[in-house]
Amino acid sequence: MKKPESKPIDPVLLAPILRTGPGYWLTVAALSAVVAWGIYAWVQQIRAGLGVTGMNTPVYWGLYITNFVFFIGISHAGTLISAILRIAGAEWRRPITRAAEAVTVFALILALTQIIADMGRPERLLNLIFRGRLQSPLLWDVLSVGVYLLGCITYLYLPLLPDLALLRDQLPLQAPAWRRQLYRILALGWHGSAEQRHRLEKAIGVMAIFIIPIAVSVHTVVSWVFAMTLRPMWHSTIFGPYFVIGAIYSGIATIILAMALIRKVWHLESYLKPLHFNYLALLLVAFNALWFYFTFAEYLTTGYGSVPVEMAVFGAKLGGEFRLLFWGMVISMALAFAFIVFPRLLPAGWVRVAYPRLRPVTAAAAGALLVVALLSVQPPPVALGLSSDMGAVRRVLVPALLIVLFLGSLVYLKGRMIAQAVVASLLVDVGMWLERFTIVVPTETRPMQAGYLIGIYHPTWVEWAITAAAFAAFVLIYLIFIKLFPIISIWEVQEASEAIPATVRRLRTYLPERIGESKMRTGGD
Amino acid sequence: MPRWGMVIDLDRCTACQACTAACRAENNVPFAGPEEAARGRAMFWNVVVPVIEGEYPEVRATFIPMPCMQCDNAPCIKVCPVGATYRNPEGVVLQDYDSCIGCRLCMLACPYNRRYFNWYAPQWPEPMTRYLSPDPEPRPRPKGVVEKCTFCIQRLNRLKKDLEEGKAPQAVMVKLANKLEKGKPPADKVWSEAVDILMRRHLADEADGDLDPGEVGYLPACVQTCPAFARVFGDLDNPDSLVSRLARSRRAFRLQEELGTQPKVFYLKEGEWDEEA
Repeated sequence: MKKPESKPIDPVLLAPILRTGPGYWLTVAALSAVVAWGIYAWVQQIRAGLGVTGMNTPVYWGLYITNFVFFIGISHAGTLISAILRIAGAEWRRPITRAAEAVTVFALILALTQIIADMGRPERLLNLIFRGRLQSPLLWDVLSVGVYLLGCITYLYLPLLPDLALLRDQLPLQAPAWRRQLYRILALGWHGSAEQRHRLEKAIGVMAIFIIPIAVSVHTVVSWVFAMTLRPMWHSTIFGPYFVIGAIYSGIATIILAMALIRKVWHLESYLKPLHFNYLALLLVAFNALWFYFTFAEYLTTGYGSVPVEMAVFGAKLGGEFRLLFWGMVISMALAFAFIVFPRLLPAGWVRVAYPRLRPVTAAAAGALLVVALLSVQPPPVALGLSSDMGAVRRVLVPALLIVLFLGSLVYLKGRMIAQAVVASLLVDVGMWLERFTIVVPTETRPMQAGYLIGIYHPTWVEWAITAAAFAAFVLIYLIFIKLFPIISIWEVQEASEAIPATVRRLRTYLPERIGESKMRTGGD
Repeated sequence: MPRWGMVIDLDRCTACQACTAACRAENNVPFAGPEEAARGRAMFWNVVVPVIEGEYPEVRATFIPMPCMQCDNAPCIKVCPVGATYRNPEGVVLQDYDSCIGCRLCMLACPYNRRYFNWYAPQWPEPMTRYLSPDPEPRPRPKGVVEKCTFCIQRLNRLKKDLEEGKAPQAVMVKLANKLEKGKPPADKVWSEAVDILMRRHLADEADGDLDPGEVGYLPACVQTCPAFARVFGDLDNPDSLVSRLARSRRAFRLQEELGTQPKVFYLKEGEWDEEA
């Protein structure tokens, strides 16, 4: 059989796979330690029972379910974004699809660990399959998430095939034999013939279309687990779309963070450009607006209606023990919007003059804020151990410093696409975790039955350890994936050069025929 | 088939908590201990909830004893992913401890918070372990599963068995023979009538004293033990039964009736409100 010539791989793309520095091993060791701590906590929980957590009557669900919803949420963007961009033929997607799809698969796997951590009898997990009842919203989750996980693994694997073949054929001689063996087996005999390519493109195209409705269904049914109960502020008809919007939103943020990290650590600046971060940041802003729209609609309807059982939860969030978490969420989201949109509104000339002068002021404000933070000793905790008690001086000083810092950072962020996107994404991910928490817990603390006591929830170290381990495991799996497989789709980037004439031809079909032709004539020779 | 239900007369209830204690003893409901109870881990198949209305000095306290509401349209049954909670032929909502996966969605679905989770393996203080009920039905539950009130299903089933084997108390058998038609009435009809006879004899015990203590042992423990005779138990589908009559009275209401859960526990509201009006 004749082997088609494969183009040489850019060494920059092979570097993450072939060269491993001490920093990588240190990071892996640290993350593994956190994961080990989480596993230890889980073993304690298995032995003693869920009593070692802070959950109780009536707060039956806590951090685990919060994490579950959060992880399922960030699993959305990856595949959804890559699928939508593929279908839309957005060429800038090429270097980011792999990183996005990997986020999806690993987030889903971590979401499943949180379900197992939350179960009273994890050894009966298979009852969900052998004795499952379709009437239960939890079974909708099992079906939907199960199909989604299988679909996403397929969708990650299919575009990986040509890259595995490239690695099999072009791996340097000094690479260990097991790697060669691994790529040989996983490449499934791919040799890049026209027929194979055609079939692969077709399979990817079909998967891209199928994955979108499945992804939408996944977070919809996650929300329905809450919405199908009669609890105040859960029993809401907009929960399906509200959760899907939040999911894609937090997913975009997570992709941006993953890309920024990869770019920085493995020097992939030539592939992951400010342009990519700019486009994703604009997408993030669009979903930020959608998220605010849904949140506002939900809270306005509840507050205006003023049904007593609903108002009990409403009050707990906006002015009760969850107020720091709730307003923390709102402020995070508002700042995320501000850090992407406001720097673009600043006049460039003004920034050029003002920036060097403002820098020391901002630095001083940051320093002062740090000092204030260090001086304030922990007063009594509200929810999640945060404190709201501040002295009179701090009441004025801290906001003033924060405003200076905020304005300073806006000036700094002017024109820095990647910094904007990263700062906003961090805020969005924090905000979305807080959103999940303030959806899950406050409702539980206010039982509908008159006379019931108000629930209190303080997560214990076991829950924090398992939560930390889940996030550490997410990064850890991601790092291991980068070590084994190219995190930037090599063949798709290579293919881009072939795609240029085709794209030009396609662009021409968008235009009125005469303009398209004249453009061709002027641009042709 | 009988449809077991309960009526609780709030005018009679003194909030003495005897029902709670009797239920705990009968059904092997574990002790959480003071520390865990403070963390919200106490379990009560039956609980007496105080509802305080108004502000001092214009304040009124109502005490609502709450067993499981045994809803006909039970939200907990709908949401169970593995069918561990189900409605038995007599309408009692039961929990299968061997298939429950401990997801606690049923607890969130229940608007009355009448379900409890075993956060730990069940524990009793030392002397208590010797007095656990030996019945196989309320056997101690394992950790990690949900449990709930069963209307003392073990007592009702024992009555049915004793009726079929002719071992029921003499007084009940005589009354049954007088009440039911000749021939062989269906076992369910006998069961339903027998519970009503026991219930009426139990309430009449206030006046006469010829009640065999074994007789009331067939009624749910909370009903048997109530010193104020505030609880009436029986077949809601038997129009002549005491419980069915009371459930249709003008004083009868159900908790959070607007949710459409159709509870089979009815309350008789406190009469003084009517008198004032």
